[in-house]
Amino acid sequence: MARDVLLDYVLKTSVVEPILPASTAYLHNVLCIVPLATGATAGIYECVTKAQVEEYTTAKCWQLLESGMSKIFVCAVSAYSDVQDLIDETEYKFFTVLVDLSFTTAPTALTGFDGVMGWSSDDVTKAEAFGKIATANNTAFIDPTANSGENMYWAFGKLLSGSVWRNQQFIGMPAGGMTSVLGTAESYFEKRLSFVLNSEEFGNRLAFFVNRGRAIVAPYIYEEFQLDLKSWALTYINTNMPNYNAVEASKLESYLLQKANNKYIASGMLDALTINITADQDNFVMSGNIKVSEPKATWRINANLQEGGIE
Amino acid sequence: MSKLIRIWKTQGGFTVNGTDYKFDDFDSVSFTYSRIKHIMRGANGTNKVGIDTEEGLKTPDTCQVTIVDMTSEIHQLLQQCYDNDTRINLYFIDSDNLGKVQFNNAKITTPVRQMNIGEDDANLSVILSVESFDVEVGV
Repeated sequence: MARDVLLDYVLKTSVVEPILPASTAYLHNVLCIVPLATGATAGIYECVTKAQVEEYTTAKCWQLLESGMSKIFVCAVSAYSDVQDLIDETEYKFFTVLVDLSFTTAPTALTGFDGVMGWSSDDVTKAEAFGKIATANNTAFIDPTANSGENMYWAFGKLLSGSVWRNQQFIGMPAGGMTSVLGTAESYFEKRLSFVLNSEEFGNRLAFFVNRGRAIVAPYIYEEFQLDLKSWALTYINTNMPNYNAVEASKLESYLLQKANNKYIASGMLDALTINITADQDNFVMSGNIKVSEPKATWRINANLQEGGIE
Repeated sequence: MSKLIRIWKTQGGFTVNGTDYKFDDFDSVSFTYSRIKHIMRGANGTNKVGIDTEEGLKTPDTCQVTIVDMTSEIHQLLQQCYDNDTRINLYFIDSDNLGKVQFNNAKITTPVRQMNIGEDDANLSVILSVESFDVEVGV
C-alpha cells in the first residue's frame, strides 16, 4: 500500500540508505568432506545436530558441533573427486574445509577455494607434504586412524566458534593423539604438524595447531582484515563521494588507518600496520600500499636453568 | 622541505562516524602539545648525560580553530557533538605538500558558539576547541 498522495505532495522525501558493513560470518563456517553413509545421497547438507550429521556420514565431524559450533556444512561423497562439482554448485559460504581421514590420499586443492584446508592423517610423510604446500593455507593434523579425525574436528570447532581468534594452545582434547613421547612430539613440531600430546597428568592436550608453518589464526585474521578494509573503503567512498585528488587520498588513508588501528591493533590481533593511499594514477583508481605484521603465537619456551645461580 | 602547512592552501574539516564535513572558511588554528621531554640528574651534578624524563603524558594535546561563518547544519552538528560527547576527527591538510595535522577521537571542550559580538568583522566567527590523545602529524 503506497503512502497517501497528499502526504507525498506536501513533503517529498528521497531516502538515502547507508551501506552496511560486510558480513564476516562465513569466516566461522566450515565444510566437512566426509565419506557417504550407506543409503544416503551425495550432497552438501547444513547440519545443526549430531543426529543430522549421522544421517549422511559415519565420520565424527559432529565433534565440531560438540566443541561449540552451531552449524556445519557436511559434504558427503563416495570419492574425493566428486567434491569439486558439489562445491561449484553450492550457495553455502565457508572459509574452512576439513577433509576426513578416511580419504587416505592427501586432498588436492579445490578450484575457486582459497581458504583454510585441514586434513587428518596418521601418515607423517603425507601429512608433512600436505602441510607444506607453499601456496595453500593447509593444516596437516597427525592423529591415529582409530580417532576418525575427531581431534581435528574438535580443535577447529574451538577455533571457529570463538568470538575472537585464539590459537587454542594446550586445550583439552576428546581423544588421545599419536604420541606420549617427547622425541616424537619434537619431530612433529619440527615438521609443523598439528598434533595431540598424551599427558599422564593433564590428559590429552592440543600440543601444536598450525597452518603452513604460521599461527593457525593468521589466515583468518588476514582474511577478516582484507574484508574489513574493503568494506570500510566502500562505506567511506559511498558516504563522502570524494573527488580524485591528493587531499581526498590522505583523508581516506587516515580513515582506513584509524578503523584498522581501533579494531586490529587495539585488540592485539596485529602488532603493526601501515596504510598508504595516493592519487597517483589518471582517474578513478587510487593506489594503495598496505603492510601488516604477521599474527604470531607462542607455544613453547626454550630456557636455560642455572641451578644455584642465585644465593 | 618539511611539510609545513600553509593556511591559504589548507583544507580543514572534521569527520563524524566516517562522514566528512569541510570548513568553508577558517581563520587561524593553534595547537598545544603537552608531552615535554627533559633530562635530569642528581644534585651532586656529576652526570653529564642525564636521565631521560617526560612530563605531560596525562594531559591531552589541544587545538583551537577560529571558524569564520559556517552553515547552520555544520554548526548544529558540532554543537550536538559537544552536547552528546561525540568524538570527532579534526583535520587540516595542505593540498600541495600534503602536510597534515589530524586530531583523532577528539573531544570538543567548549560550546561551539560565537565568542564576541561587535563592529569588527573578526567578531563574525566561532571558536572550536578540541582535545585529543591521538594526534597524527605529517612532516
